[in-house]
Amino acid sequence: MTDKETVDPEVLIALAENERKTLIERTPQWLLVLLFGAAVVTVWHMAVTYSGISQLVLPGPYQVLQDLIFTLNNLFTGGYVAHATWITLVEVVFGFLLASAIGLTLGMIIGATTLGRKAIMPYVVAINTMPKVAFAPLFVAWFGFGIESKIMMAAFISFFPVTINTAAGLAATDSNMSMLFKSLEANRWQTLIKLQMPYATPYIFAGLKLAAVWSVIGVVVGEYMGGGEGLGELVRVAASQLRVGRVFAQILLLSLMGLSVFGFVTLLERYFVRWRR
Amino acid sequence: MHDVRSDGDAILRLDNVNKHYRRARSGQADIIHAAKDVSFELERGQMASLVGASGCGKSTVLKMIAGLIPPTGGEITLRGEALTGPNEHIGIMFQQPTLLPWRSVMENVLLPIEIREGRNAANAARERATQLLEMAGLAEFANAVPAELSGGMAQRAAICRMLVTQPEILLLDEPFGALDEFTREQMNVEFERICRSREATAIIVTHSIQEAIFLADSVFVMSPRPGRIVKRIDIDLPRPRTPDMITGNRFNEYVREIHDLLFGSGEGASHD
Repeated sequence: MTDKETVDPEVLIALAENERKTLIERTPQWLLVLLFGAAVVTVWHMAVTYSGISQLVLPGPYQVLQDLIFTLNNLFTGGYVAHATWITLVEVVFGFLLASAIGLTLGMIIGATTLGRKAIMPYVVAINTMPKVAFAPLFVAWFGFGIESKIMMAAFISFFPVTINTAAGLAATDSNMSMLFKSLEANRWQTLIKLQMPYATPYIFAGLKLAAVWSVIGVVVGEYMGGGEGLGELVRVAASQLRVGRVFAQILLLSLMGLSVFGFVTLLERYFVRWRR
Repeated sequence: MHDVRSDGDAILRLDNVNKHYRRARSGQADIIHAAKDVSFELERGQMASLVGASGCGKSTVLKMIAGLIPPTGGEITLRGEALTGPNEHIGIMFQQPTLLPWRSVMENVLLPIEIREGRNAANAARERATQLLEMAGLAEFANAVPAELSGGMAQRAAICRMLVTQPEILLLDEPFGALDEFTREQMNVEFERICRSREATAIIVTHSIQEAIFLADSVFVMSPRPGRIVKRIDIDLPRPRTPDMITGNRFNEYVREIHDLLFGSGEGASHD
């Protein structure tokens, strides 16, 4: 690059030929995302307009937009949507925190002890194969119609990925590093705290991200079953009144909530796993 | 630093050391004899290398001295006392630098002290660690993380970590095997200098005949199945060793001798 060799024009032509990209490759991604979204909305609009399908079954994009504006307006002016969002957010956050605590503890017992791996692991796997949402009525019976039953449901649904990833991360420790710690006569606790846990953090965060999304699912299932004042209850009521546009708008709020918790965990991950390139 | 009465005598002694493995995943008793009747002595300040093909049991011998795996027969003694496990007087390093990626170079070097004596002792040893890093040419990288180091630099940091507790015996398991040829030769020169300046007693396991000769006072040639020492060759080359020795006649005679022991004299040695 730094030498002053004159470049043959034919080389430049050949280079340009090698570097040629297709139209799609040259288009920025945001534009493609927007165009695809616009195409879907157009098809949706045409389908609703020309198929004669009832607004009660599937509203058009314009109707949904109006419902969305109404819902957001209600949220930001402190209406009932704001109250419901707050309740659900509290349930999601506490459910997620509980799932993280249970998952980390159980994962450490399974990943760091032979007894845990041999005796407890099979039960955790067995619980995971159960359709966990089927337990929702029981949680209502056990913990009532308040936020407690939703928090427990969220924790129950989302502790598993944290458990498994913590256990797998602890077991994945580099064997050479384990040998180093052994040669330094490190005790079990030192090996866990100074080697295995830091080594497992990328795995643990992968589990926490899954738990962040799953705890929203757990809360919504809990609210469908046990009522209350959250967004899930709003969705249930709106659907029973066949206000499909409202349902869409409220589900969008729930998605944004899941995305926020997910984003927060990702920020934590950036901080704790910044050594990993 | 320690009470060494047996000055001049053997500091490390292996007496008919044996290691058998049970081969995993086999129905019947399938026992591998990985090391057979290995006996040798090292004097204080002596550098030895174990050379042999992969699978000849040289790493097994090293791990037994490090106390990482127990022998199935024989005895290893350090200054007359039987070794039964990992020991603060013995430092080991591996083919991979095995630096903890979430710790800075300085924190990695201080790790052995932190584990053995606690965080305060580790902080108190910062100055010693800094001197080691300076000696290894890593002073500016004390606060860097391992991901910012090249392969050779990471291995130099691993040397510092091994030296920080001032062990009497250094064990190196193919320490520079993962490095490219140029870096490797440079590391050999540096390592020889470091060992000489501290009169270190060291055992280097390697499959490179050149490296074995370059670093050692005595080369132990091992042959596989069962792994045993077939010959001890004392290297009579002046110290410090310099890269130009590698092309010298004396050096090449040693290479030929070891090569013939490892591959048999019939299969024409091809290094001149």
